[in-house]
Amino acid sequence: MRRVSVGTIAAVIALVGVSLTTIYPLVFMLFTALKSRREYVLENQYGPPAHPTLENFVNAWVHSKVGHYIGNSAIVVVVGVVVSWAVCSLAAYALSHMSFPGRRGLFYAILGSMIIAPQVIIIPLYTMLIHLNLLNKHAGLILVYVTFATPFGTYLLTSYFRSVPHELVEAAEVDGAAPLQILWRVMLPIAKPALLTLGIFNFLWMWNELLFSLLILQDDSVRTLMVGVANLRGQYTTNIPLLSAGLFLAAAPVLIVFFVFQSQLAKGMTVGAVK
Amino acid sequence: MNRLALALLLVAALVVAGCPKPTPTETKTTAATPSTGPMTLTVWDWHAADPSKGVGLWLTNIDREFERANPKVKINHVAQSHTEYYEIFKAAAAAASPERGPDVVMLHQGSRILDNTPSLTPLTDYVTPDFRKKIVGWEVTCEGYDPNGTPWAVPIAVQGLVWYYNRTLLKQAGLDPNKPPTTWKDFLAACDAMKGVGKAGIAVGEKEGFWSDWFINSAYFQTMTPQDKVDLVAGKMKWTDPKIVAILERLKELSDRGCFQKGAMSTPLFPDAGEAFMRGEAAFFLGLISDVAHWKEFGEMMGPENLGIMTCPVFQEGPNSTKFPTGGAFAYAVTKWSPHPKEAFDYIAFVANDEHATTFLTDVGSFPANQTYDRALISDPNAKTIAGWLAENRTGPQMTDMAATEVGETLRRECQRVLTGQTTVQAALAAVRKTAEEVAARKRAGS
Amino acid sequence: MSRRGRAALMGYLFLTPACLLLITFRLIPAASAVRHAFTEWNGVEPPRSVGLANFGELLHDPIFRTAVRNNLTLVIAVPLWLLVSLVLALLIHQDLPGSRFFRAAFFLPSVLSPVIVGTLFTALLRETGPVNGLLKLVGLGGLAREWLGDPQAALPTMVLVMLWCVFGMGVIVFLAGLAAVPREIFEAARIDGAQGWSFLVYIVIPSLRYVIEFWGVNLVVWSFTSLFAFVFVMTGGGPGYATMLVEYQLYLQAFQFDRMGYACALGSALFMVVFGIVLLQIRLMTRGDD
Repeated sequence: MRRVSVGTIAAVIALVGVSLTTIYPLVFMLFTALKSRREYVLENQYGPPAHPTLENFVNAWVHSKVGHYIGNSAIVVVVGVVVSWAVCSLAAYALSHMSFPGRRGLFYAILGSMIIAPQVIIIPLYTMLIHLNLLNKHAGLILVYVTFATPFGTYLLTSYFRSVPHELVEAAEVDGAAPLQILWRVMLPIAKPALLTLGIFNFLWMWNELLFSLLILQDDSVRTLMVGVANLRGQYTTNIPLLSAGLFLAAAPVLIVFFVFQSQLAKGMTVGAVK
Repeated sequence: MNRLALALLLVAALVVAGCPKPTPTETKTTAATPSTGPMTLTVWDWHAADPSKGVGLWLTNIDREFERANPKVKINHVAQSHTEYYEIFKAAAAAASPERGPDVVMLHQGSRILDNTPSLTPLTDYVTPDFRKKIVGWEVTCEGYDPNGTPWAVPIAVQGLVWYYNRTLLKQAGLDPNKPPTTWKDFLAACDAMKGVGKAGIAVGEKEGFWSDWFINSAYFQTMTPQDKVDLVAGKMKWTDPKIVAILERLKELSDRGCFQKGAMSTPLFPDAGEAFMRGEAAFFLGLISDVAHWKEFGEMMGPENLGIMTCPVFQEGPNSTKFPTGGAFAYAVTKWSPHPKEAFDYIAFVANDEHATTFLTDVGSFPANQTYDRALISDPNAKTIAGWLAENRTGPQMTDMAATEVGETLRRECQRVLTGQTTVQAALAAVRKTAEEVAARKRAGS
Repeated sequence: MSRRGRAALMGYLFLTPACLLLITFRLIPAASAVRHAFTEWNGVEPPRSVGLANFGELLHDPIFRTAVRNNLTLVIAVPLWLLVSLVLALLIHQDLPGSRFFRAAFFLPSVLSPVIVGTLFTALLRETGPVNGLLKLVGLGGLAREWLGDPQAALPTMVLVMLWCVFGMGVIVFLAGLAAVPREIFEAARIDGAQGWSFLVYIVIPSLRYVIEFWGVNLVVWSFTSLFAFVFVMTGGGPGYATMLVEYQLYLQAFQFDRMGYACALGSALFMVVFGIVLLQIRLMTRGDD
């Protein structure tokens, strides 16, 4: 039994305070989604709903075609996350534990490609996708997503792999393991928290990304969920309760995935820690 | 790993539930076929997302009707997000070919159409004099802002700016709801009276600078002649002209006197400012005649009997001082790369026909550009007033629609700076004038 | 082939997928953007070469100057963003009661798309909204203001909202980093009496150097290239130019004013500025390294 110190109590109070600021807006959003537009606009903007209604959720489900688009989103995001894991771990392993001429230069080149503002490459990128016949295809969007996640992911994994002692790698090399085996058997298990972190980040932004999805997937049959939700905004974002409901529906899968990953994350942190 | 597996299963279950029938990726393959064969017309707009009501429903019905009337044509209506619309359109235009890209696109009136003419088909050969005559709003869809110029798009809806007021609040403040304050002096007094009963004068949303823009459009008839406006676009009249200074001085006066509701500078015009008006926080609202923030929405929320309507309070008498600005709310254009320009135009003409003009008013609650609609069908008292004003031609074009997008943007931001005390009216207009001159210089260098 | 040569080849092979993707979908489009920086181009019609005119205009563009100043203000706030995440991660790492709950709660903002964050905060920060209500309740009514509509307050308010959006992600990153640090190091330091600030500066920061560097660099890049949606929904760069950022100006030029060429010049300048800051940052963090 740990002694409860004043410091601990102060720390918990601080943490509770911060949690309130993150939970309140979400509660506000849920309240809003449960109100009729009339109640939200005329009577009760900030309080809990006086006449809770599921009407917004039903409408958002139908109008943003959640049922229609969610499968597309799942395909794009799941494949995107997995491919990104593969691409980034390979690159990060090379950058952190292999030696070859130009390593530093390549690291900075990858880092630099993170800085390109998306707005200036929209048109050339679109033209490129047409040349490669990737327009209106999930593969096109997935490749673009994985590319955009590559500098961030490679950098993230590199910074974790670097803190793994190189002796571990050398020991495995002495045992005759090939680089791919070392990566798979030695590095990745240790770096599980980092991989999960990358997975969460990629899942999140790929799920929420709108501009490239709109641009690349223009046929209704291949569109992703955020496009449907964004359409709820309409020309003048008139119906805030409806929009809140739509965004809530869109966020639900992400929350589920996070809570599952988070328990993995917690486990990874105690089990996988370097001794 | 059990939980992870469970999550993946869940996602998989959602996928299966979500798409009962995996539809193959469908690209437009019919493009190359000659005009007589079966074809697909791809239509882009930002209204189709919600096909259950409003404009979305109206368009969906029209699509089906059109397909019944033209069995060889299939309409592929693509809902685009309004916020990202022009980014997507630009990218599509940069790489468009007859096999790819929309045939018909919805565009905003004014510079959005005329700046995009390199991507559009001129409709000169299709727009007949009869068709031209029954539709209004051509001045913001035709070359040179000349209603008789080359038409680049067909106006579908009419938008306009009128002042709404809350009759109940006026009564509360001891004012006559049947005699709204039409002069500037009375209007300021009415705003003061509202403060007296703990309400605000005007519900203003200036986050985007739109309210200033609307006010200028609503008030410019008082100081400027139609010729002035043409001169301004042509660069013959300067933005620092006393006639424009006078309008901005009035804008500043409203703010200095405390006529705006609290927090106006960070309030979005849509939907927040309109909502503040509906909640009865302010007595006046400079609103629209179609789509949203208009008589129909306010009437449904506040009761039409509590709603009144007027034009801009008059600070300078003149022949046009009680006019209000109108323009196309949205228009349809045919793209340059469309392999079926004739059918594409037929579709637009079908959307804009007499019968649909009437349903646009009765079902959508917005004013159609086609003026042949049946006025007898209007039951709402405020809509009746607007229809009457439209019929007696108490309208004029908007002023800022004709300015280049960049000039409008500078104007809105400079107005915000005036209202937050960061600059003076003179300096603000000098900045707008500078932008206008730079844009003109670039245009000259380009041609 | 020598052992060294084989190892080097292996290294390049491992980097091949990443490089192929980056070249195809980032570098070639970016090269096209740089080429267009020397033209006047509306995105549709053929570009017209104008030499260095766009860059000359950039130097005299007062809006660009304001935007750069605002962006640099955000960069100055990055250490604050880092520190908040780091301290919270440390608190959670100590296995306080409810750690798992806190970790989940802190993550919630990250789930929300910028659209809803902007809509939420527009409502919460309204002059008549709950934030000012709370201030008045605790007797700080004098501080109440129109947070996003006051030219002096708007940018600092944005900094705080951004902090709200990213601190949870920072916590996750640092927790994953802390997991790789042997617990003994922290415990030994505790026994030696390292407390509070000195514990942070001498023990935690050195152990997490690479991760802090990574997250700091990421935040800097993020503050320059990923805030568009927030600005768009919350302030539109206003009032006036009070919250104008380079990225937002770039969007206006490219897609509102049809000046793709000038936008490309802006993008090129932005790249050079950010890359400079990032290199400086890495130098500072890895002083004394190989």
